[in-house]
Amino acid sequence: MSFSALVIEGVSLRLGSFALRDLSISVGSGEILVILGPSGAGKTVLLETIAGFNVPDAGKILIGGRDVTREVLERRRVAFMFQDYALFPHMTVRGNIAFGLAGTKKGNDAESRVRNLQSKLGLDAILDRKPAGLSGGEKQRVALARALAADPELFLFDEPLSALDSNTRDSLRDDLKAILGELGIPAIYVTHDQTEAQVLADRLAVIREGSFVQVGTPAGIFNSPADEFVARFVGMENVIEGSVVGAKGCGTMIDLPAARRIAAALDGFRAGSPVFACIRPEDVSISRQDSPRGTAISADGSYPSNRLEACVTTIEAYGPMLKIEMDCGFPLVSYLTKQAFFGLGLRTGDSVIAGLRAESVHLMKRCAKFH
Amino acid sequence: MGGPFPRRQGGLTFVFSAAGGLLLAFVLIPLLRMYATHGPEDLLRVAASPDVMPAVWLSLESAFVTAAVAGLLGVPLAYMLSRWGFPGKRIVEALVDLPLAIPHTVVGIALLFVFGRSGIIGAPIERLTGFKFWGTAGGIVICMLFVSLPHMVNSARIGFESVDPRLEKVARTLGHGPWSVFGRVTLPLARHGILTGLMLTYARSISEFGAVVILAYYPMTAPVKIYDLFLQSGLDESSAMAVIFMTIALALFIALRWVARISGTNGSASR
Repeated sequence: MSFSALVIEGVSLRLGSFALRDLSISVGSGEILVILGPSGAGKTVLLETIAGFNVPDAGKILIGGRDVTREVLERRRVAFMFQDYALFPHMTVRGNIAFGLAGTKKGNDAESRVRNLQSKLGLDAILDRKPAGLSGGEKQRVALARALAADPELFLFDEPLSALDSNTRDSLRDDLKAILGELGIPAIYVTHDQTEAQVLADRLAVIREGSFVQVGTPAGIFNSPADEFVARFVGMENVIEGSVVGAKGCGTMIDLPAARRIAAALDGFRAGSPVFACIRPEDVSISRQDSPRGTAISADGSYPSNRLEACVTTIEAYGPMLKIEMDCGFPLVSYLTKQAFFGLGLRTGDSVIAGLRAESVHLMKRCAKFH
Repeated sequence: MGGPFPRRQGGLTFVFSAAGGLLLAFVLIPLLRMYATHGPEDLLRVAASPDVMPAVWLSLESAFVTAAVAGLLGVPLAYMLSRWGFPGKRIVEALVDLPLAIPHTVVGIALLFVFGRSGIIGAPIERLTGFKFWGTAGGIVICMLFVSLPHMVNSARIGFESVDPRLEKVARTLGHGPWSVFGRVTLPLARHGILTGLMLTYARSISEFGAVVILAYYPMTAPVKIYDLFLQSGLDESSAMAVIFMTIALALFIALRWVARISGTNGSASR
């Protein structure tokens, strides 16, 4: 059995109308666990409970094998990274880092460790500046240095990047990933941003209303979400109700609304069972109705195996892509590159063919509670 | 803070400026008129008469002690009110503001029942230690404290409310206990509000008359002595002492404000 840096066993906590419900998870040494969920799902409460701001009503928290459930927070050796990093505004960078050091046992070892840290994080030039004048990247590195000076066993990140503009966010996220990888200190990173989750996570847990809905690898969760909530949350914008017609070769045929029928490259579904067909919008290609078969333009350049007649309802810019909403008896969303979009010369009201590769159609059982 | 002088607000600019100017004139004219009635030799003569300068110093000293006591007792309460939720918090808040609504002579009478010669605290303390509140500097400080506590607590509370609680949380996770976090993070960041509170307490204490005149007529503070001169010797003598007292008190107050501004801006670049 591998050593676990953090073990949470059956933690429950009620705070007013909100509750964490019987949460159990562990984080391996050097592992980054990302907890993904919407606002109010309990992400921050869980982090604060691990850090010791809240005492759970039930359950146990072990850090590095120590039971810290009742331990005061200053002795848990957990680094908490807030949004905007909460640097002390009345202290210089040097003072901030020294504050982290002062909380631990003193000694020459610790001081030389901090000096190494400062130069490794590139802080030597800004040691005498106050936090107010620092860039986002500098603040992040100061906060990391301050936390590391206290010699933590675990990092907790509470949406540190969510207030930043997207360029800064992307570069800080990549910095953070590199630094955490180098340090090898395990971390829990809480976010509602699926891109952050995908980039940072070694393992991913999706939380809703104080419970984990799905825990797994990022690839596993993004490609095979456990239910409609997870599917929508990880960017499966097309979640379509359907029912299984039967097996066909090595796949499954699905009846969708408006008498549409598609093939999915998945087995193990019984005929007649209700399902959701989930398709990521980047996996939906669009071609002209009058173009000969096989010239469909798709983001990945492959040929679709399911072809659905559709009508373009809206076109809007979506970051570097264009988001095309179509009606094919049910709504269907596709992302196109600008190149593909102009190649097709699409306009609202056009009749098109939407293409879906059978491998891109994810199926999951549909339960009564989602009706 | 502030902005440029407004250019496009038409008549509003004029009416508001006129109203503000009128108010300032209302404050300044009586004081200037009082100053204008006295030449230097006049002031020196009154300053040399017995009891005048001792009363001035007693006022300043008592106000200083009051500010120190108010700071020590008011800061914890201000912190509790800014950070904690607890049952009866609304009542505590109302109690803190209550001295603002009580006529100061009433404060003096109420304090007399507690700290007077036969008061429920005054009597046992006198019996045990020989220390009296009635007619001593101790009584003066008690009166000043009562009337100025709202200013101390409310200003310090605003100071604490300006400190992001996440800073305290992060400080705890960095291995510091509650006392260390309070002393090294919360207090320095709230110092602007606390200094403002100390200053207001000092100003309020220096100007206190109504409560002091009842609990501790003697030893006379400056406001009491000015009143005494007004009754015994008339307007000339009392207004001369008023000018002396106001000049010293204002000079000190301006100096303190200046010191507080320097230490308040230094380092709190967050605001």
